[in-house]
Amino acid sequence: MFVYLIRRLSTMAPVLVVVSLIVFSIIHLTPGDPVTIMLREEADPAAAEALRKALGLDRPLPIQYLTWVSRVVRGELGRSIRTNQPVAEAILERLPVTLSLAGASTLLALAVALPAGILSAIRRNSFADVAGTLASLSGISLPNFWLATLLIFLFSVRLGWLPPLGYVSPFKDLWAGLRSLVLPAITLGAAMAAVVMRMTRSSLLEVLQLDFIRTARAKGLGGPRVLLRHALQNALIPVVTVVGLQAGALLGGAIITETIFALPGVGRLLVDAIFQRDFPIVQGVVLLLAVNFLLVNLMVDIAYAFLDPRIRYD
Amino acid sequence: MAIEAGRRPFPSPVVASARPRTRVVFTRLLRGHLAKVGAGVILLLILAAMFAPQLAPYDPAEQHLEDMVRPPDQGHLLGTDDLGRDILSRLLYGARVSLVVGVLSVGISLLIGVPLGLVAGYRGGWLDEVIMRLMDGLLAFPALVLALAITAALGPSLGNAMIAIGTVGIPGFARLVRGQVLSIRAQEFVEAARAAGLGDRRIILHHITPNVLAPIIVHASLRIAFAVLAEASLSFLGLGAQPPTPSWGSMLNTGREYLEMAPWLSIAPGAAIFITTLSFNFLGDGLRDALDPRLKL
Repeated sequence: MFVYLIRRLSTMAPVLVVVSLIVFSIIHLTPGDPVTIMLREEADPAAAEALRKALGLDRPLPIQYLTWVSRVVRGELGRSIRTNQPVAEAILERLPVTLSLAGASTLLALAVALPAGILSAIRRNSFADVAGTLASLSGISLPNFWLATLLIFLFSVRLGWLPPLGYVSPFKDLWAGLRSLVLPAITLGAAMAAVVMRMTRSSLLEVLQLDFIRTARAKGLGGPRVLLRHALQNALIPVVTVVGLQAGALLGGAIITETIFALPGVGRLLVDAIFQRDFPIVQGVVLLLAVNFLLVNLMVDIAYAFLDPRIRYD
Repeated sequence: MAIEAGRRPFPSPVVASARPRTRVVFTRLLRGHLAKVGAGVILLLILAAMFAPQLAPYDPAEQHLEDMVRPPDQGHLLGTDDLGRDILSRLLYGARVSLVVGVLSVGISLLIGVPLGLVAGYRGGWLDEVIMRLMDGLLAFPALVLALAITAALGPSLGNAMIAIGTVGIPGFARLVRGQVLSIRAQEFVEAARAAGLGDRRIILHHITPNVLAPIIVHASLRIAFAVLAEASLSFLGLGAQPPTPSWGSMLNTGREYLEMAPWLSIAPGAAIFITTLSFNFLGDGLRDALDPRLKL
């Protein structure tokens, strides 16, 4: 296992190099002079020169890259050109909001998708199955910004049950915090629920046709026992992969959800930074989201070893 | 000379019995009802986009400030927006934007991703390593985040959104094609072509590419669904189509501001995005079932 971990981490290294090159290139991909773009046309030449120096843009490209990487490794992501706040600090301030949103969405998605997927598989071709399949296909195709709009219209504008915008920390006021997270969590979790439900259904259907299930039934074991002890344990392994991949992608989806619901999270920080042309912030957030995605994938791979004893990593 | 002689009996590429297979695939595709619905809706959308100037009752950019935020009635079947523009007309022209961006961005992914996958899979070695590590690096970003990062760098515009969405799709095609090529290049007909003295380019183009087309078609149709959604997302955030271009995403963004007093502004464009994406997903699923029945559950 340890050897596998080392090997897996070593394969991550070249990917991280490519990721760092892509993130570093963001500032250099801009058509024209990035400093003029950041400061807009009317900036005075002295300020432009100072910013160019501060960002190290006056040096040769390879030196710029190496300096940037060595700083990033030490946790120095630079400073916002608008507020002068350190980028790492700006991200850390907003991370709890995004993580609580992602956590709530995942919990909600799993609470709906797993039972629905299991029901669909054990009642194959029934009304529940067809309805579930259609709902999951719709969930994948539903633009989350439209779902958010519809949810706000129904639950906030028409019924007045939930707040349409804003964030309250659950640590400050639990009830208000939970209420502020309900609509964003449904919005963000809908697509994940759809994908997890589909995977649970197809994986369980496949396992239920295998010989060992027939053997278990032939031994006289009851339906629920066969389902819970034998079928589900095996069927859930690919589901874990999908949940992991979706959880990694959730932070990406949080960008739109946070923008719509005015939640002060990392996604909102990214969108604001794009409009303000605050490239250090854009680079920092994009790097964080990519590294998070990679780490979640790594954790999913490791989780495999614990879930499936047939998988050996040596 | 032996090689020359060997070329003659090997005139046509091995593509698993083309005609009967095509017929089987088509029949299976038609059997899937959802795929039929998807294909039908997509056809209607294409027609609506093509004939938008004839079908649209008004100019999509024409402002009627005296008719601002008018609810649906006989004059404006889907109502008007905050500048008095006819929503139905903007919706029809918006179909052009969505479909063009969807198809062209997938075209970008195809044009770059497929050759990369072909070369990586066929050549192997260091070239494969370099290409695939690059693709892994692109895949390390959640799709929308990478699209946002590219759009942020290039600047907000529809063209740049298209480039961004196209770039995001490249590694998916490259990986898919490489995997297929790895299994195909070991097959006897490729060995035979090589023994017959055919060059790498000819083997790749005439013998390998036709055999990887089926999964590419399936993936492309599903990617169009993603591209339509991604364009709408970028336009919704203000990073895609810029005013006054009618885009479903930006229409929805405007509608959100008037949700309380004019919900119809949000309903029509949202429904259009949903139906289009769903149709491409239906078609993609149907194609997958038709081209690879083993995947059907």
